[in-house]
Amino acid sequence: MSAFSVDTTHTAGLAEIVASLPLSLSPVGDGPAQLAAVAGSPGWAQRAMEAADGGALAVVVGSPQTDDGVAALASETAPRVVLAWDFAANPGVLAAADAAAPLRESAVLAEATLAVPSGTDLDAALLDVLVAVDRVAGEPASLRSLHRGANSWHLAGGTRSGAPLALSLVVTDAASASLRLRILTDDGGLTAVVPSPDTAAPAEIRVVARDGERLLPTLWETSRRASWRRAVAIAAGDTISGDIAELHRLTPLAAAALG
Amino acid sequence: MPHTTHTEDGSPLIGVGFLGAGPVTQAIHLPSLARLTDLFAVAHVMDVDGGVAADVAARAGARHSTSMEELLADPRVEVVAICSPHKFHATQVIAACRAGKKAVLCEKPFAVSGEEAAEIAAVSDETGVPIVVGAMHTFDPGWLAAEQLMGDLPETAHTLRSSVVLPPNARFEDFATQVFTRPPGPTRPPLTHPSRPEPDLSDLAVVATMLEGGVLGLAIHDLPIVRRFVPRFDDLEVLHAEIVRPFGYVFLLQAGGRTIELTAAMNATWKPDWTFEAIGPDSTLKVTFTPSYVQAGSAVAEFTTADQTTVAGPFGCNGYEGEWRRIAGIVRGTEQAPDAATLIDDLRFALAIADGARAHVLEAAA
Repeated sequence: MSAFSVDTTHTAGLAEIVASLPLSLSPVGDGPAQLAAVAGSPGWAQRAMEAADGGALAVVVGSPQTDDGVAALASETAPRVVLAWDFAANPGVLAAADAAAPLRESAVLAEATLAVPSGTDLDAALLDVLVAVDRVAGEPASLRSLHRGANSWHLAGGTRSGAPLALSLVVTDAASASLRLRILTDDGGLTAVVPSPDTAAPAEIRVVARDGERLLPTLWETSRRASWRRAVAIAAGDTISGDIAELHRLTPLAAAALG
Repeated sequence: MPHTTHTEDGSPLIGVGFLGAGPVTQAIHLPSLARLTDLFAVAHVMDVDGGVAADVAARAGARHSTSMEELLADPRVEVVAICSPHKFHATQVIAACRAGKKAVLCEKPFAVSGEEAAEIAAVSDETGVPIVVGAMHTFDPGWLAAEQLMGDLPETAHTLRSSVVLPPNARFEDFATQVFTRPPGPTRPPLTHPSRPEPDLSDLAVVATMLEGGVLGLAIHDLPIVRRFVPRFDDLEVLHAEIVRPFGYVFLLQAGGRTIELTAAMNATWKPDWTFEAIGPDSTLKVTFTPSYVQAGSAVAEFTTADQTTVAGPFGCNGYEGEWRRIAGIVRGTEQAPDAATLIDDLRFALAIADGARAHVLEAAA
C-alpha cells in the first residue's frame, strides 16, 4: 500500500501523526492531498463537504464543535468523515465499548466525569463525552442539564436499561485533562480512565466481575493517531465511517442539554 | 481483651461500655480496641438481646446486661459507646452525659432531627461531657494528612465529589470478626437483605425514604469532610436525587457556591471503591478510603497542582483506631474534644440534604 498524502502545514500536530504512520501517510508534494484535515471549529461540516467534493478520499475533523451544518452533509460524504474526538476517539474507548456491551442491560448506574483545563469549550466537550458514553454505556435515553456554572456543568439522564446516568464536566488547571467512564452493575462493572488527547499514555479500562478484575490490554496510542488510522482505512476502501450518523443521532440529546 | 486494669506506666485503663452489641460493636469497635489494649478495657456490654450481650461481653471479659441504666450505673464504665439503632442515639447520648461519664462515642448520626441535636448540645454544654461522633473518616490519618496538604483548597474548591461503591456489609464484617446473631433490620442495606421485599419505587414516598436512609446511613460518613469545603449551607439546594438499585443514590447539590456530587451503590460486588474529591481551579484532592470494618490501614490522600502530586499514606491504622485514640487523649486531657457546634452543624448539613431530597422527590411529582 502506498502512503496517502496529507497537508501537514496547516494543522498543528499533524506532522507528528504522519511521522508515526510513515507507511500510511506522507506529506503532500505537488497536487492536492488525498486525505484532508479540517479544523473542528464551527463551519466544519461545510469545510468537510468542500474537501470531499475537492477529491479527498477521507476527511478528518479535529476536535469537532457544535455545528448546525451536520445535517446537511451529503450522504455520500458522511461515510468518509472521521470525527477526531479528543476522548471518544481514544482506542481505549473503543476497547471499552466492546467490554461494556454485555454489561449495559444490567447497568444500575452510568457515569462520565470529564476534567478539562480552563478555556475549554464545554459545549464541544459535552459532544465528546456524549459520544464516549454512547459508545461505552449505550445511547442515553434522556439527558438534561442540572447546573451549569463557570467551573462545571452537571447533567442527568437515563440509560436505555433505566439506570441513572450522571455526567459532569469540571474545569481545573491542576491536572491533565481526562475522562472517566463508569458503568456499575449489581455485581461489578467497568471503569475507563481516558487520558488527554495529547498523550499516547493508554486509557486504563478495568472490568470487575464475580471472578475478579481484568485490566484490558493497554493501547499506547493517542486518539488523534487512532482517528488518522481510521481515515487511512476509509481511504483504502476497507471500511466506512459512522461518525456523522452517530453525531446526528445524538444531536437531539445534546440540543436538549444545551437548551 | 486483657483483664488488666492499668497501663504499663501505671495509668488505669479506660473502661468502655457499649450500648448495643450488634455487628458495629462486634466487627468494628472490639477489633479496634483489641489493638489498643494499652489504653482501653471493655468493661460492660449492653444489648436488648441478652444472649448477644452475654456472648459479646464474654469475648472482652466484660460484664453484660440488657439495661442502659445498669450500664450507666457501672462505675467501671468511663466512656460510653453508642452503637444502637439511630432512633435511640439522642436519648442514650443525653443519658450518658447526665450519668457523668468521661466521654461519649456515638455512631453516626448522633441524632435524627435538629431538635435532638440542639438538646444534645445543651446537655453536653451543661454536663461538660465531651461527645465524639463516629465519623471514622474524619479521624483517618490519611484524611488528617490531607488537611495538612491542601492549602487553600477548602476556600477555592468549586466541585466536591463523594463516591461510595460497597459490597454488602457482611462481606467485610466477616473479614473483621465472627458476628454473633447477625440481625436483619435497619443496619442492613434496605434492598439487599433477602428477608425484605422489593420496594415499590413507583411510590415516591418510598423513594424519598430510601434517599433519606442513604444520606443518614451512608453519605453521612463523608459529609463532615464535604462540609469542610462548604462555607455555608443555609442556601443548600437539591438539584437532583435518584435511587441507584438495589441500594444507593445519585445526588447533585448546590451549597455555599459549591457543587456537590454524592454517589453510592451498595450491591453484590466484591470490590469496594470509596473516594472523596475536591476540585478547585488550581488544585485537586483525592482521598481513597479503605472499606469499613476491616483493619486495612488508612486512606491515601493525593493532592495535585499543575506541578506535582503529593501523596500521603497509607498509614498503619484507620479512622476507627483514630477515633479511639482521640477519645483516649480527651479522657487523659491531652487532646481537645471536638467542637460541639461543629458536630451539630455536620448533622444539620446531613439533615438538610435528607430533607431536601425528600422535598425534591415529592415536589417533582406534584
